[in-house]
Amino acid sequence: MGDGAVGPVVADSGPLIHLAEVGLLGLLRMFEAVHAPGAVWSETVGKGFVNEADLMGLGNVCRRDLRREDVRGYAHEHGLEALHDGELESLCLCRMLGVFTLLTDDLAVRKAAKRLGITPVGSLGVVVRAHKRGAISVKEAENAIVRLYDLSSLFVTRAIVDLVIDELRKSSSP
Amino acid sequence: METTLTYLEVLSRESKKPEVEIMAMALRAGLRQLWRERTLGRYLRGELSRDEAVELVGIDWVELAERQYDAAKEDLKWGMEQ
Repeated sequence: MGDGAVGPVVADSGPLIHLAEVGLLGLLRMFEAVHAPGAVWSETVGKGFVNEADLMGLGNVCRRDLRREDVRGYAHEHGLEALHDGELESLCLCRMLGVFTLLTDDLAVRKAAKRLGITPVGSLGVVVRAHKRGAISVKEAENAIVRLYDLSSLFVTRAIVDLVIDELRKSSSP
Repeated sequence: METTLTYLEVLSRESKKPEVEIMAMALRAGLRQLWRERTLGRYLRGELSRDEAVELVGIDWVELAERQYDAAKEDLKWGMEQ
């Protein structure tokens, strides 16, 4: 296991749902804190995609409710009105907390995050980092990535999955 | 398996088509998807030119694959950090 926890992150709904769908929510323990805005909570726990007890059981997940006017102002200031509530609140929360890593699997949100100086990280990145830190073996990481493709609602083409697995194997070979 | 049977039953009932026809449609759709993924994979591995990939699967799928590939590369880079 790597030294210390990975810095704090804000989570959009996608990675919480996708990791929960394949039973890998536990990988989120590697983060110092996982902040989830209220809208993300509603889209995940509220809709039954993620079990609240499982999420809270991680011990590092904090629900953060934002004031609607703050979020609206932030959206207007940065031209983000086209994003959904959870996505928007996630970006807004990053700024409010001074957190510079956002867990998201949405390509439009990734683009917006980078424009705002925030590093977007998807479910695949979480799996790769967990392996790099020694929390899971290369075989477990490969299985996790295949399950994200086969079983979860993460939308990614098979070619990408194969390329990520190839890179993972290369980086792990002596 | 239970989900697959449920899909089949519901699709057949709602479309008023026999289950065997739904299965034939599913096979065609599945093969199209597998062929598209094969094509995109060949493009991303440099075995096909962009123009060839666009001709075979359309610009929308090629652009989506490119964006997903960029995102995956960013994820890999971040994931490999100590």
